[in-house]
Formats: sequence, structure tokens, C-alpha cells
Amino acid sequence: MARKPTAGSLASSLFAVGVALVVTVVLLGFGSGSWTDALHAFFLQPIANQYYFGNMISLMGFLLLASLGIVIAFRGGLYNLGGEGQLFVGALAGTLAGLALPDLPGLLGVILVLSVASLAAAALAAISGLLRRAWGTPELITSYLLSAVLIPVAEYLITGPANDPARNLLATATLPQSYWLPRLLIPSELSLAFPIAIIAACAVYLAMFYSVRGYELRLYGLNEEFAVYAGINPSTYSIGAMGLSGALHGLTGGLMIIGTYHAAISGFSGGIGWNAIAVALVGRLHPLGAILAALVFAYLDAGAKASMLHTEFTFELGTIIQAIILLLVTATFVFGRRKR
Amino acid sequence: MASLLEVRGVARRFAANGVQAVASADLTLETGQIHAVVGENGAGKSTLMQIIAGAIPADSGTVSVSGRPLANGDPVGALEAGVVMSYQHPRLDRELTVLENLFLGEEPRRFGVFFDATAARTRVRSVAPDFSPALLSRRLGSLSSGQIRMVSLLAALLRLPHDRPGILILDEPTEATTPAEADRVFTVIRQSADSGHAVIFISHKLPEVERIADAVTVLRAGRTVASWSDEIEVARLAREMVGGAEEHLAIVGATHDRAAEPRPSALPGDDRVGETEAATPPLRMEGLTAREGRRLVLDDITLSVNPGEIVGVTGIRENGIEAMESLLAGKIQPDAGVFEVDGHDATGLSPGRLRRLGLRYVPTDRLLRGASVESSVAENLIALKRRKLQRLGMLDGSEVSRFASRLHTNFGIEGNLHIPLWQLSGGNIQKVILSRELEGDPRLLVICEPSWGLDFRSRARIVERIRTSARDGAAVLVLTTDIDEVLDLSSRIAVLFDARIAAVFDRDEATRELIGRAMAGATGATRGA
Repeated sequence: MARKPTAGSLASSLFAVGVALVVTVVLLGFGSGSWTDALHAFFLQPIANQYYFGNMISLMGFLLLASLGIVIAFRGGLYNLGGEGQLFVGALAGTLAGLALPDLPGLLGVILVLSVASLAAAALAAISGLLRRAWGTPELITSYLLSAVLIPVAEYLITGPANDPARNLLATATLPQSYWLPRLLIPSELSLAFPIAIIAACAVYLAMFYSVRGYELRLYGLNEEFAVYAGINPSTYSIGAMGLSGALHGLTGGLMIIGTYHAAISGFSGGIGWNAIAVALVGRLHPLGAILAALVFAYLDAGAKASMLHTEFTFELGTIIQAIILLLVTATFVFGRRKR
Repeated sequence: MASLLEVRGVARRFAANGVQAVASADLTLETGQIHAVVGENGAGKSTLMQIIAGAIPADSGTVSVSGRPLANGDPVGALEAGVVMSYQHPRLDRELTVLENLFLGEEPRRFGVFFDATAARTRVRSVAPDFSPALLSRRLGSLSSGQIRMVSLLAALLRLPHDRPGILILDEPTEATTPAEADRVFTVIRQSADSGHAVIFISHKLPEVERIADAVTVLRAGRTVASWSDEIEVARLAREMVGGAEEHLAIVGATHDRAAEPRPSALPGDDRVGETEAATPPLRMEGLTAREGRRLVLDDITLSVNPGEIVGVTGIRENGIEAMESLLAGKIQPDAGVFEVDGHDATGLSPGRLRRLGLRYVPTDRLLRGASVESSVAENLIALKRRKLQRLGMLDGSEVSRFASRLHTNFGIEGNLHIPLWQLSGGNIQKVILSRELEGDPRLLVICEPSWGLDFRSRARIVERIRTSARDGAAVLVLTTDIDEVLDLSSRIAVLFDARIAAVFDRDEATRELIGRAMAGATGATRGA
């Protein structure tokens, strides 16, 4: 049996982030021509101008929203490892719905894209919850595998049947402009999606710790057997929590489309679904902690990108930094659990 | 010459909850001695044992074995010095054989790779000649709970040094055993002490301490308050544990000379018999049969519990006690007969639906099924009440804290409401669970092993609560393997043997001997309902 996920300690989160920073600084020293230039680019460039800053905050919003999905699943004792696929499939479904009904008033169009994206992803994730209830199949495996199978299918649709031959891109056609979310810090990508993510974090926080449903979800996550004896319906929380987790991933995907890309582009999700897991863990599975963790991750990402542009720092080194963080987080998370 | 084990001025405070678990503990153990450590719940017994075994470090004080101080908080060093601790919940693997479990992590090897089963069997024989060799190749999961307990004791014995005196530490070795199993445990302990080792054991059962201990140390609020080795008797033990308050001695008297005296609270529902006869019994089973797999685990059970009545069901766990708990918990379903809760057919209902019919339930496995140890004390207290404490789907904070504080105070739970449950002592965790289940005039109360892990004072208090609930009209069903407990609590006693009700006694006609005989399957006992 896999251990149930639970929140790690503050110390382990700080440790992971601290070590990641040290490694970053060292790598910057070796990987770029000039250490001072690299440090400057990495730490100051992301906040130096509106463009970088807006892009960083935009990424933070998406990471946050997806990580809320992870927080809900993990708090309910469910490992949702299919976030990346749910996000991608949801985004594609939302885009196709928007393209199929291009003439709605703007607000309705937005609601259409987002709800189709959320529902598609929720259904996908709920399958894993259902399998767990019906046959005890670990949702950790099924959610991952479903996602791994459906991402290539979605890629095929984007590059094949749903491809827009008019554009010289591996992408669908562009959604009508009336469906786009307003941009906030032009020329950056930052859109209304960011405040939506922050509001969602606060809502998840309140629901998780102050509502009856949230209480039941946490009880179910901490001790399923006791929860069942206390009269909590296990199906509600295995299928429901997975579904809700998927819905948040789908919503993230949908917002990325109408906020940033305006079309489903091949590989657009860029690992946000995976990084969201690290964000949720560093944030100690707390919705408000996730806000800080998402900021840290977005900052590191933006810093790496800035260093690439301004020094000889390579893309691979940036990826290495992110990989190291993920490794540290999971390591401290898993080993921290064993002590007591 | 130095004693085998000397503990001097040991103290330990837990930073997490600020509890000074051990304040100043001393203990001296001699070779060949069986040494009991007694004290009320939360007196620091378990913590002290863990410090001796190096499982947790002390803040101050020393632990020396044969005059040589042990490193603080070093379990490996303690083990090398011959200190072996057997835990209440040992880590055994149910899928491995008994033999494999016994040598887990230190298997005798052949050619450095293969498990040398022959050598292993020889070692078992040398340590415990009475242990059945046939059991060794069985899968651990196929053993009864009593046998598993013996296996864990044996695993500890095997880790004692062969060439010099070792120290065996046992945390409540007879908790949840039948009298016969307890006797076997004592035989093994005695053999071990006679062969030159020494044994420390924690116990809440004062008569058994009187019977087998050579020396005793009493802890009160983390301090050693007394230690002596001649004339160990229940009355003095009890006096030292509570600090001499006379009122509590009366309780001890009541729990141990019960057979002789008239019942203090015979049939709480006496004054309204006419009324209860007519009403629907909150629990009714008639000709009930249930299976687990193909095995018949409940056979033709007919039993009702009326409001105001405490019915005790006893027997060996595997003889139907366990199955009856599973039935009432909604884990197994009857395949024939009547099973009604509060007049409704309860066949096929989920645990949650059973609760909604008014069933309250304190399971045997308190920590897994009876509580969520990582949730806070308050969250555990409100588990059944959560829907009543809401406004528009949000938990009403002030209602929640009012409700939780009320239970907290009424039951004298120590430790604050917001710490995780696992930080409480075992006795306080029990109180949390019982207070939640007894709250608010339950119709039907099923309590399994009511006094597991409780010292006699907490036990007396819980017994009183259960009686009060019954007096207020609850139908109480007590499932226990402890004969004294059924005698103490019940107005009617049913004894299970081989999945059937072997005998039913009214409290007045029941004796320890009669129940013991029926539990063991002696014929001639009356059958019926």
C-alpha cells in the first residue's frame, strides 16, 4: 500500500527551497560566463520590468490553480498524478467547444470554454476515483496512465484533425477575440486568470478548513476507515475529490487558453501539471502556502529564462534546477514522513 | 557490584505539547527479577521504557546497564547492551511465516545468502521449548490474535543476549489476552527471568502484578514515588498510584472483591420494566447466522438488548466476539435471521447508515477505526456531530468549540483541543472516543473492550459513564474477552463458544467459574436466549 499523502513540515519545505537556491547559485557560477551578470539576471531580471514580471506572475497563477487541485486530492488521501494530462485534455476540449460555438456573447463564450475544460478534466480524473472505489485500483497508477495515454491523443488531434492549416503552427485555430481574457500588464502575458487563481486559493482555503465538506474530506484523507464509521460516504470523497482535483486542472488549462495562448498549441502545458505537485508539496498542502510556493517556482522559472537570455546559461541548466527542486521536495516529503 | 539496570533521575519533556512526561524517574533492576512498573494513564510509564530502550532521548538523568552508562537516545547501543523492548503494537508482517517474522532483520544465514531455517528452528527451541514447532511455518496472518502476541514476545526473547543477562521490557503484555493466554505469557517471562535475564513489564492489572512481580516501581506524574520488593499487594499498589486518597481505594475494593458483594447497581432499568417490555428493543437478533468467506462465524444467535439494559457478551475473540463486532460495524452481513436496530432491518446497511439508526460504537481497534490520530482532538470530538454544527455548509466555529469544550471538560480529557490526537496519552485518547460516542443520549451503544489500556481510576469513571448512559435509557451491548469486565458491568451475560451462544446468565447467577467453563466450551451449560 502506498502511504497516504500528508502535509510535510515547514522545515522540509524551507530546506528544499534553500538547497535549491544554493544549487542555483552554484550552477549559475559554472554555467554562465560571468557569475555577477548571471546572478543579476537570475534574481533581478524577473522583477526588473513589466514584461518579465507580468510573465512570472502569470505563470504563478497557473501553477497555483493547478496545485490547488493537487492539494484537494492529496488532502483527501488520493494521489492524482494525472494533472498534466487533465490540464491538457481539458484545455483542448474547451478550445474545441469554443471553436464550435464561435458566435456567443463574450462572457458566455468564456464560461463555455472554462466549463467544458473543467468538466472534461473532472470526468477524466473521476474515472480514477471510480476505479479505486470499484476494484481498489490505485488511483496513483490509473491517473498517471490515463494521462500518459491521452496526451498523445490530444497531440494527434492538435496536429491532425483539429489543426488549423491556415496557421503555420502545430495548433488549432484561434478562438474568437471576444472570448479572450483581458490582459493586465501589457506587453506581458498576465491576464485576469491570475486574480481568479488567487480568489480560488482563498476559496479552497475556506472550504477546506471551515466547511463541513472540507472537514469530511480531510478526515477521509487521514483515516478512511474511521471516516466511513463516522458515516462519511467513501464514494463522495474518492470520486468527488478526484473529480474536483481534475476540474481545477481543467480550469487551469482553460484559463491558459483564453488568457495566454488563445488556441490549443502542441505541448503548451509545458509540465505545469507536474510542477503543480511540487508546488502543492512545498506549500505543505495548504492553499495559502501554495500561493507562496507558486511564487517561488515561478520566480525560479523566470530567473532561469532571464539568465538564458542575458548570459550563456543554457536551457538545460534551467531544467536541471527545476528537477533538483522536485527531487528535493519529494525526498524531504517522503523521508520526513517516516520519522515518527 | 552494580545492579543490572540503574535508572537515575531521568526526565523528558515533549516540546510538541509541552507535557513533562517524565519528571524524575528512578528504577533499579536486578538479574533474575520480574519488575512491574505501574502508574495511572499518563504517569510516564511508556515514555520511561522508551528512554531505557534508547527509542527516545532523555533531557537529563542516566541509564546504566551493569554499571556502564548507555548513550542517550541510542537504540542500537541499548540493544547491544542487552536491552530488548517489545512494543504494544509490534511490527510484524502478516504475509511472512512465523519463523521469518521471528528473525526479521537478523536471519541466520547459510553461505551468507540463504535463510537457514534449521538454525533458526534450533534457536527458537532453545529459547522457548514449549512453542509449537508446527506454528513456525504458518503464515502469521493465519494466527489468532493471542498467538500473534506470543510470536511478538518470542521475537523479543530471541533478541536477548545468549551469554550474559539481558533486560526484556514489555509494555502491557497481557492487554487483551484471555486468562489462559496471560498465564502462558507469565510462564515465558518467568522462564526468562529464571535463566538469568531480567524483565520489566508495564501493567494496569494490579492482581497480576501482585501475583507475578518480584519487585515494583510506582510512577505518579512522571516521578518514581515508591519502589519495593516484599509484599506486593493490590491495596498498597493502588494507594501509591493515586497518592493515598481513600475514596479511590473503595473503587479498587469494588473491582476486586466483586464476587462476594451484592451488585451495587443491579439492573439500572428496574423501575420501568413494564415500559421497556413493550417498546421495540434497540437491538434485536433472532436466529442470526453470518459467514466470513465460507466459515460460519455467527450461528443461530438470538439476543436482544432493551433500553436501560447492559448486556455483556464474552468469549474468546475468535469464537464469535470478533464476528459480532464486525456485524454491528457493518463489515459482515447476516445471511439468515433477524438483525434489527431500533426496529429497522439493519441487514446490508453501511456503517454510516447504522450510525443514523442511532447506533454508537466504540471499536476494539480504537486508533484505526475509532479515531483519526492525525486530526486534532476537537476534530475527533465533533466527528458524529459535524452536520449539526454547521450553518450553510460552514462549520460554526463557536458552536464547534462550545461542543468540544463541553465533552473535553465533562470527561476530564487532558491536553488542549487543538493538538493532534496522537500527542495525547493512550488513556486520554480513550476518553476522547468514549466521550464522543456516549454524548447525547444514545439509543444503542456497542462498546468493545471498554477498559483496554485504562488505569483503574479512569476505568471506574468509564464504567460509571456507561452505567449512567444505561440509566438514561440507552441499550448497551458490551463485547469483551475479559470475564471480570462482563461481571462488573452487565445485567445479563451471554457467552459465545464456537460461533454460538453457549450460555446466558443473569448477573445474580453468574460466577467467574461458570462463565469460564462456558467460554471454554464445557457442556452442561444452559443454552438459549
